[in-house]
Amino acid sequence: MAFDTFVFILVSGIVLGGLYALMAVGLAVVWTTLDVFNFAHGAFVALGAYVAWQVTQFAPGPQGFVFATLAATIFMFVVGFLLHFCLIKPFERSPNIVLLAVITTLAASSIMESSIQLIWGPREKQIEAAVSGRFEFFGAGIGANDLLALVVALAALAGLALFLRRTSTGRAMRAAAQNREAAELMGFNVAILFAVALGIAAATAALAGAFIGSLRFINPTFGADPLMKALVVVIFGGVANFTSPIYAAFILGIIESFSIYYLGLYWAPAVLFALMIAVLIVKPEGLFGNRQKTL
Amino acid sequence: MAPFFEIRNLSRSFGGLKALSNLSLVVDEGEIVGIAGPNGSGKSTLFNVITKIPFGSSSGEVVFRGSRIEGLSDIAIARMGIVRTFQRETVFRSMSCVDNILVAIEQTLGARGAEAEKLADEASEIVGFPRNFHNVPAAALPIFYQKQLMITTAVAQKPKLLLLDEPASSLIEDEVDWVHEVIKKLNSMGITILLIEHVLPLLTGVSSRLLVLEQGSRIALGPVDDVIRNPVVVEAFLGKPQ
Repeated sequence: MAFDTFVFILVSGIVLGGLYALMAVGLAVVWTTLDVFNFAHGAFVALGAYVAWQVTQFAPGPQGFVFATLAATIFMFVVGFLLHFCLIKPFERSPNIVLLAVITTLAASSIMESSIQLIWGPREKQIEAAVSGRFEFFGAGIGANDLLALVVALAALAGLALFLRRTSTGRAMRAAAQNREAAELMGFNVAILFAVALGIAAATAALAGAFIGSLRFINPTFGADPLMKALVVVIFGGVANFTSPIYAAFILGIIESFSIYYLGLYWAPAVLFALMIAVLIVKPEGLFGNRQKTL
Repeated sequence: MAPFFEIRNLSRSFGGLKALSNLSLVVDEGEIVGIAGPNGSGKSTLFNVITKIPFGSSSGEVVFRGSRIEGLSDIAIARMGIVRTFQRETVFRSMSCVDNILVAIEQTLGARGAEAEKLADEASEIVGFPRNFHNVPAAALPIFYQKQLMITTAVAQKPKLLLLDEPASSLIEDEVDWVHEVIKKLNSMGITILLIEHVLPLLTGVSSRLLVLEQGSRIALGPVDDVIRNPVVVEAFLGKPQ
């Protein structure tokens, strides 16, 4: 393999990893706080992308993309926040909460995808990228929009980490995730904190969706693929620390890129799922995990 | 004048099981009331129904500083100054010790930033929790220091009524002596305390009165010396003499 090809595949994998990290961290935040798996996460990605696309129709150009991304992120935060009170909160004391959450989040996913189809139609769309052109990097041409996606994903993850570690709301979310009963005894409004967690998950999904929509075509059900990839990332890396799924996302992004090059587009997902099964057998808590779920 | 804290005919049932049955108790401000009884007698259930976490009472009244609180939300009760510790070490394990204290201050008292840090330092000083542990993850502490951290966190919330659930469990003799001293110190600061404890020398050493429960019902209440000589109490703990 030529060196420039190697660099190109590597950078593509890192960009992919950045977007996977953004989606996986959203899933992990919900998993560690609400203790449920959110099957609506893919629909969050899709709805966020469509809201961003809609805004770019009114405000084209680079500034329009920035505005669209912000609007989609804020809109999806509100959607996620409110959905907590419909999808999770009514069932939180039920012994079957995990199963019920699977059903309610799958139902929400279906409703959101159908709503996207009704509002925007089934035809594929693409969001106008904020930046265009290519950079020469060790002989490989790297898209400026790809690099922007990576930088924004890393900045968003750093911002989320700071929020969780340095702000009182973030600290309270981490505490409630670790010991709900003790948090309630300290007067935490756990319902609001958990709603914020789902809101954050939806907001990060929307941010990822807006960038995915600027890199490839989107349709109402395109969120299913990112959801599966985020699931693989979370299982692969574990959720012991905030950074566990991030490391896993970059590793899997790079593996996927090289798999596409060597094995082809259709075999790359199979490689990722085979790795996921291997990790589940060898280290079920995830490569970077321990047996404790924390935030 | 209304008593500082009172429960009237408090009951809690789980199906056919009566975990608490028509329990009444009046606690004066500044008092330490010890609560004893065999396992399953309803001691921790009493703390649960007072705080409404994880469940409230089936019937009865809870009156705190003249106001009935059994109809309030668990959040409202927590923010009135009723603070509970658990018999097992309940800390937020992956968070640093100072974050454990800060998060309690921020949520209960609403303090932020430097003010919250000052309150955290004050609470550490009162309890004697070493400040050089502040940046250590709570899970890394030995059990005794996790207990200290839990009590520091409780003190940082400026409790008016402190519900201590077996603070001396799993501790060795010197550490139990420390618990004795810290309970006395907190009480001297004006904090009213309800204390559940199986370590009887500690319970009888710090309490002004004892409440003894058996199968959810009160079998004795009064000054410590009277209660520990009460034949009904002796029988509940040691069995009927042959």
